[in-house]
Amino acid sequence: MVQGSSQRAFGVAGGGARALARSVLTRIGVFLGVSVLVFCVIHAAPGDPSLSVGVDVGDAVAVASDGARARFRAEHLLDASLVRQYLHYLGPFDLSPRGHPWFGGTGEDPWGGLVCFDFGHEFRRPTISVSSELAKRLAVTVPLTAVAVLLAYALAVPLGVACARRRGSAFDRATSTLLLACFSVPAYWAALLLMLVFGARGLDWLPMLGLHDKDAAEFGAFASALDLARHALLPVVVMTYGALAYIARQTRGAMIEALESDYVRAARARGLAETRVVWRHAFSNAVFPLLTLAGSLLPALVGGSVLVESIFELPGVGRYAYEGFLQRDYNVVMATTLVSALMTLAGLALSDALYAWFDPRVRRA
Amino acid sequence: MSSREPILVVEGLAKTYRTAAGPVEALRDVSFELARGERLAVVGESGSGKSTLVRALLALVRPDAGRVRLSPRGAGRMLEWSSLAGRELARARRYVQPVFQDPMASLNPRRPVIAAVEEPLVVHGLARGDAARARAIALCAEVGLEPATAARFPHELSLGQAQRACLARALASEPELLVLDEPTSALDVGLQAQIVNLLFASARARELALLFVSHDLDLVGHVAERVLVLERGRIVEAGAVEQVLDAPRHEHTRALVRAWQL
Ligand SMILES: Nc1ncnc2c1ncn2[C@@H]1O[C@H](COP(=O)(O)OP(=O)(O)OP(=O)(O)O)[C@@H](O)[C@H]1O
Ligand SMILES: [Mg+2]
Repeated sequence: MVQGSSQRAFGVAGGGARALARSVLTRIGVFLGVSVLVFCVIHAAPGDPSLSVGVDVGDAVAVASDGARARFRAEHLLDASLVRQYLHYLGPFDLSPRGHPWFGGTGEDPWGGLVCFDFGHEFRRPTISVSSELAKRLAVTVPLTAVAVLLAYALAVPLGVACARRRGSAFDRATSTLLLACFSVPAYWAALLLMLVFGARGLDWLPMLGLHDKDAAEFGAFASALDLARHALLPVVVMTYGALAYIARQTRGAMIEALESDYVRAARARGLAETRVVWRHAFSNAVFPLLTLAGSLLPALVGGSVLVESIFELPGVGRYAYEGFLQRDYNVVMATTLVSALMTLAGLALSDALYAWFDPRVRRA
Repeated sequence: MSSREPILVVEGLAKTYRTAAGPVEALRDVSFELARGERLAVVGESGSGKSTLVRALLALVRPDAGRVRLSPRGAGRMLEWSSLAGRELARARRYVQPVFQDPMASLNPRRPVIAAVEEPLVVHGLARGDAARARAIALCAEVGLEPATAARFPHELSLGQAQRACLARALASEPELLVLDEPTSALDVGLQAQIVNLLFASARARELALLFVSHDLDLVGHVAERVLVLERGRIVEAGAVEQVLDAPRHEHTRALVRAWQL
């Protein structure tokens, strides 16, 4: 009847500088691999970026002139081989006509490429650098995601613990069913439903699109904060509920395992107060797999932001990626995808770090 | 036994688990007594209810019927152990302490073992601060753990050391009854003997009653004075260890003994 503790099944992550170097190199390799993959996929996808040159979003009728299109294709090496295009993108040498003189360019406006963290300019709006636009978009997506993650944890952990403590009770069964239902509701469906219920066509309680009211510029500090909160509420709810359901389920499972362990039995038998048993002994062990979950949750949320931001018309990274795809703006697609990949890798690194930090077996190894 | 004063009196204990597959009667009408300082073994095949009995005696499982009374010297009176609750139960728990089968699983992996030994002292108000630490170190020394070893985390101990730590932790609250669920079956033979001798010495020094579950009939013969045989939640035979092991009366006991001798 001994409960096999899942934590003991983990191998110990090797310590030392060499392991660190290896994991950094691996991650750089993965990152470059992702860049190649995405590069190939968008170039293979049907559609021609030059079609939307100088054309505004949604303005489908207008089409760029043939001359402009040809110039555009030449400038962006769109007719060169894929390898050449990728090397151009990767940098550090600009292979385009206006690029580095070693490769036959004029050298007037060379760009550094990916290795210099230069994401180039937008195809559609050549004066706008993708990096600066991305920074603006991240300023929307990152806070939204952070709020969603924190909210998900803040609600899910107590809920999961409560269910584990009352395992099999009516409360536990009702909550588990509800969470499972939440988890299986697709985000777009929930978003549309919420918009129907709370938006102008339903109760008309909340604004539906964008982040600010059109008159927000005239609001005072409090009013504009309230305005922002009202706009962000539904998107945050849509980004939160799935993660919440998932974390709560994991919390419940981890807590049940901990509460069934012999060290918790022994703690109970010692006459400790129930709260001390639950939090000090059970939770402190259950929490550590939950924290490592955060690292893998983050990329999922960043991915989900494409959908949420598109539906709610929020000017975030997800929507930027979506617009980039629609217009075959390779630079935008590459940049947004790579930033997501970077976040994913950072999330996993964070998991590893938390894992090492919270597990005495690893920390002291 | 009757000549000695009882520490534990169990009457008509019953426990049924409700499972998805239907009710499982883990204990039925279990009654016995245990005298102060007595060593009682509980044997029975897998699933016969030994661990359930252990958990009921540790007040970790609430029985459906029956009562358990406990009369520790420290309390100065008979306690209705099986119907205590809340504060009273928490306070009385110091008199009955467990040792489980897997020492690693019974130590909180996130705390140094010395903290585990110290905790009962503090919780039950037996010592505080430096005094508690000193008592904990002395307890560890008694079971053969050096201070440096006791300062480690469970995963940094050998199985034998971990089981010693569990024993020290169990002894910390000055219990009068130890309930042990297969305390040596996770250990190899050499370690088993060490732990058993340790247990013996500690029990004798404290007039500590032992109730232990074991599959190992040699160990039972060596350690116990009396034996209970459980079969599907019922006591089918009880008596002095020589009588039960050498001249078993019940068919089930005979089968157990035969299986062991193979
Ligand atoms: N928490 C539980 N829920 C449901 N049934 C249980 C539970 N714990 C034990 N049982 C069942 O009760 C019966 C007695 O189990 P118990 O663990 O007391 O047996 P045991 O004699 O200790 O067995 P073993 O020698 O294998 O440890 C078994 O049929 C078991 O499946
Ligand atoms: Mg058992």
